[in-house]
Amino acid sequence: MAVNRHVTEPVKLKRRVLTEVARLAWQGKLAEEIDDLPEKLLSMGKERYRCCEFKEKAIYAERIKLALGLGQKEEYKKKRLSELLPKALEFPDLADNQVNVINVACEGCPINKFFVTNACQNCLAHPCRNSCPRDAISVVQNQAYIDQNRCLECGMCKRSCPYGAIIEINRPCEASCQIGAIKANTDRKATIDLEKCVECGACMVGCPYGAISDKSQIVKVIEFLKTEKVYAIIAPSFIGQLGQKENPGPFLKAMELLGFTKVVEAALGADIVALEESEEFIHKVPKELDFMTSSCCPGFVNLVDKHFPDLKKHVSSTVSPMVAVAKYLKQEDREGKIVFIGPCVAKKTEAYASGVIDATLTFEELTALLVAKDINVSELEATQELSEDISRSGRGFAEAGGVKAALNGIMEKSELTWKPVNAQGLKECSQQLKELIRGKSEYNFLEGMACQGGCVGGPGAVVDGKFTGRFLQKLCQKTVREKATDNTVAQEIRKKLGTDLHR
Amino acid sequence: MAILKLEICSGTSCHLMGSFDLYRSLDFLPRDYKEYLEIVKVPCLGKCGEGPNIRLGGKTYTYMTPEEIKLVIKREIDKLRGGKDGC
Repeated sequence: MAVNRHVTEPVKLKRRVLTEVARLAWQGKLAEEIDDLPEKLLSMGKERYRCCEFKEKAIYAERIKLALGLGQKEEYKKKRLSELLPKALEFPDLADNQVNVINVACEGCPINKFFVTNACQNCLAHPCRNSCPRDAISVVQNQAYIDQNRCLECGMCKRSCPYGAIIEINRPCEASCQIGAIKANTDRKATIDLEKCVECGACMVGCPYGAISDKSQIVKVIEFLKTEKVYAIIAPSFIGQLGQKENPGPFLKAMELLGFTKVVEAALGADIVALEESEEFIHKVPKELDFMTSSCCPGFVNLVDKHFPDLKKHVSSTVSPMVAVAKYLKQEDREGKIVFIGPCVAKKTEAYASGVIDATLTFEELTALLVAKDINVSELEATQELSEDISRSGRGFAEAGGVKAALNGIMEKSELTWKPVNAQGLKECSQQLKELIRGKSEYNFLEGMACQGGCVGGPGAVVDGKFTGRFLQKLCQKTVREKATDNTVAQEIRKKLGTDLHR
Repeated sequence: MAILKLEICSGTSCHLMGSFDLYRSLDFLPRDYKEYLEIVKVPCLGKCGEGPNIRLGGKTYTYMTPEEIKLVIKREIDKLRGGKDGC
């Protein structure tokens, strides 16, 4: 159930904050002007969103803290932004817990699940009352009324009403989280259960108040760009993110103008991973394991770690394409800094833990960096081209089914039993994993992707995944090499990295 | 038939603020309105930071939303057609 993603008002708010924080960082004026930023942001945009400007400013302050990379911690409360800045510039909170609820921004949506609307006719039959197992429904002022203290939330009343007058309300954050990791607190504000959260970021997209947001590393990246040699690894879903459809040139030119020394596609790593993972499969299945899963999506890996710990050994030990490329770059140049840029929030934690990536950005944050530096990508004349070594199947990793397809290309020659399946979204992933546990599955390889549509549907994307998918397909049509086995560079790097390619 | 030029800014600032959504919203414009429009993508309308921006018949509109762009277009075309009332 892919829903069209729009640039809604809360999305604009977040992007304005990122842009303005980045602007100050580029200008080196964070210390002087950060305290004035909430006021400045308030004057931007036409609409007033909340009850009063004081609340809006309080929300802006929290968003600025997240943009600076600070988590929502008790110790940061009631402190001026300039007071927090020295601490923020040490980037203490980047290791985990990327997804944060902004408490002041959380509207505390209703927690009562069933609600009688005005469509209730107070009919004679009142099947709602008859069907309720707890006698929770009475008639008050000519309308059915649900006593929430008695309600079991079974939904019988809703199903029985001939007018459809009883509706089921789900808190958007809870509805968007397919693994039950976000719940209402006693004060009705949302709270994330970190034991369960896999950092997919679906709740960030789901919340219509924009009250859930990720921590950003924009300031760290800007500091790197000012002083260091910086390599960028870009996820294959980069295509079209800056508004240039399937033309990669302007994107590459923009990266150069930002100050990146070199841009490498993570798709190169995807080719390496496809080669490595297919060999791993041949070694392990069916001798050691009856099935194996992919390991490139950190949301999916977190899902197995936190919700299906018994299956950990079934997850491929091959590193993700991002880490493969980063390890290669670090081998080539020990000093250079490496920044991964993608649509993904969970990658921020994976990248940090890998020890080889120095910072991570989403495409949304990258675009804010460009706007803050007054780089207009539509005005750029670009002749840059992507590397011709990379295969179509490597670039295809960005879409659901892409890993499966890439491995298909290699495995079809093998005589082993190869029965792959792919799952997108945490619900589908969980279902497939459960079937694999029960031994009822006919498959022996599972590609798991936490986001609907795969990486192109990631929470940090600028463009709706449906369109990115189309641009990607057009780019792939122009890609000469078909499979990972056609990429000789990937084969060489794979040899060089050897056992470094395993976690 | 008079034609109204609709310029949608696709500069990076407007892109980040959702100029693509403005394009998409035009799909829902009634055909008899669309006939009047010449839609072009422009790289900048000089009002970065107030986006997404459009220029319709030479007049610039800032902070556009998919909802508002349709209203503005309908209003301007109704004026062109004359006779009929605006919104």
